[in-house]
Amino acid sequence: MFVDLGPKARAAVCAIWIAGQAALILTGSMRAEGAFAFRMFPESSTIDFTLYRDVLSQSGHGTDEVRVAEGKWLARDASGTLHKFHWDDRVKDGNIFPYGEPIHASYGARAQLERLSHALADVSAHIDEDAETARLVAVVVVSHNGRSTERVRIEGPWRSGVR
Amino acid sequence: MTRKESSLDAPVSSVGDTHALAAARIAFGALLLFQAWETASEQMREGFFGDHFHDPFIPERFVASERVFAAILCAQAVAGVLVLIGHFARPALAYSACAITYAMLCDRLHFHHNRWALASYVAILSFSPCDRSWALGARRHAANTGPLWAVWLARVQVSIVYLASGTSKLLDRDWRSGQVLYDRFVRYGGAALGRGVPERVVAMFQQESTGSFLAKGAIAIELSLAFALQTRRFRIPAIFVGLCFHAMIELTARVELFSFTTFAAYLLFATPDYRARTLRFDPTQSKSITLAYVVRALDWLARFDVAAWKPDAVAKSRSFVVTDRDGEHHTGFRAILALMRALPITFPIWAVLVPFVRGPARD
Repeated sequence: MFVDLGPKARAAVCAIWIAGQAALILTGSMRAEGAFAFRMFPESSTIDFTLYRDVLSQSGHGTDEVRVAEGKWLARDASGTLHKFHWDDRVKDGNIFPYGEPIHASYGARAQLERLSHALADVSAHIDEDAETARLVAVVVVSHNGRSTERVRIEGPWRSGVR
Repeated sequence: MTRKESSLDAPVSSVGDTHALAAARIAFGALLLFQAWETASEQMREGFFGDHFHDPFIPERFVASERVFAAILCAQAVAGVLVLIGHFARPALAYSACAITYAMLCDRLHFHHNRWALASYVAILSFSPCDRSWALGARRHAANTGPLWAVWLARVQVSIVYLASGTSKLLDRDWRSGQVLYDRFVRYGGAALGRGVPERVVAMFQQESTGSFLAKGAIAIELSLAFALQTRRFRIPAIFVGLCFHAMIELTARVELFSFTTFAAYLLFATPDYRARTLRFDPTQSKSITLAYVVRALDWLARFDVAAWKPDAVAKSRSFVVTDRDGEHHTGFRAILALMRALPITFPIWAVLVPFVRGPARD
């Protein structure tokens, strides 16, 4: 069914293929997880993250940071009705879940931090019935290949209409 | 077929037998089916990825809806079957490569290097005449030869994977020093003990020197495989080292289909020489009939012409004779070794045994 290529077309396909693979490999660092660059088993790093909510302060001025245990929290909507929220209602990837214990950063710490940042934005955008949370914050303890640890704070976007 | 025709030395113009290529196609067909099942299972377990947090490489408007994605997955499964049976195999391979890549572009949380490797190999195979042999219902005397330039490209792709992986590790200070492996062994030591690995073995792996040695070994193996596989002289030992390397990875890490994808790609390194070896056996002896049956069943690369001989005075002293492609005859244990070397499933056993054997059966 497929037409067999002539010699010139074959050479062209080979050249384009190899050049394309080389380009993807050489630009692998530009993608947090080194996607399409065959960087297998890049790290043994772990992330351990705790989720916080910035909620409107009781005083009416500013926000207070409240810890979210096991990815679950309660919040009221604009009419005062209480709702239950789960981090994993939106985030199914177990590698970015606030278990409170180190999780293997399977494609490297940088990739997991980037994904976590995107996840914070996604969850923030999908909790319409939460009229108390001004933004979500993740405090992450990153262990770089067991050699050094680093504390990283990732702040989600401010939620419109809450602040 | 002349030596020149079967050679892959001139990649663009090379022509040869397609049985080994078809064997690789069948292996990749099975992997594609499994891959489709894996992706479908993920979606069933977690729900459609588009309904919860996903992280696309492409703009959101190009991400498939649930129905479209389900249709893509169903078509992927059908394509896997078509690749297996060899009908419309080339379009099915091209489609499968696109579908796997598209799924990863829709959600980078489901990106895995082994899936990209699989997509790359099957994309290349779609350019090859992999449907000319071992195809269900194919005409018996149809042409089994074809242009093999895509086989050369697939071989290069294997080296690209090793080269990229090995180089990225070499350039990484933590990998090069062994810190990555050491930390991994320390962290998963408890799990290994739980699986019954002896404490002494776990303790040995949890030493910095062991991590350093294994890291340097892994980098050296990956980089040397990238080059050795491309040479006739070192190809056979390289394939054996590669098999052991991937077997170790498979035992110690969760890598989805990576090892099996590589094993399938290794089939493409077989020299395309249809029935260039012979097995002649005594049809009056049950053990030689059994051997012939086993060889026919395991000869996925179509390397042996298997036939019974007419009993005569000379033949009575032996039950089977293997003739290599260079015309050399082997009997007894050496014949068994010659068979094991050429059959994919017994090749690793041959490679283990051959250092202990003296003489021509080694070559």
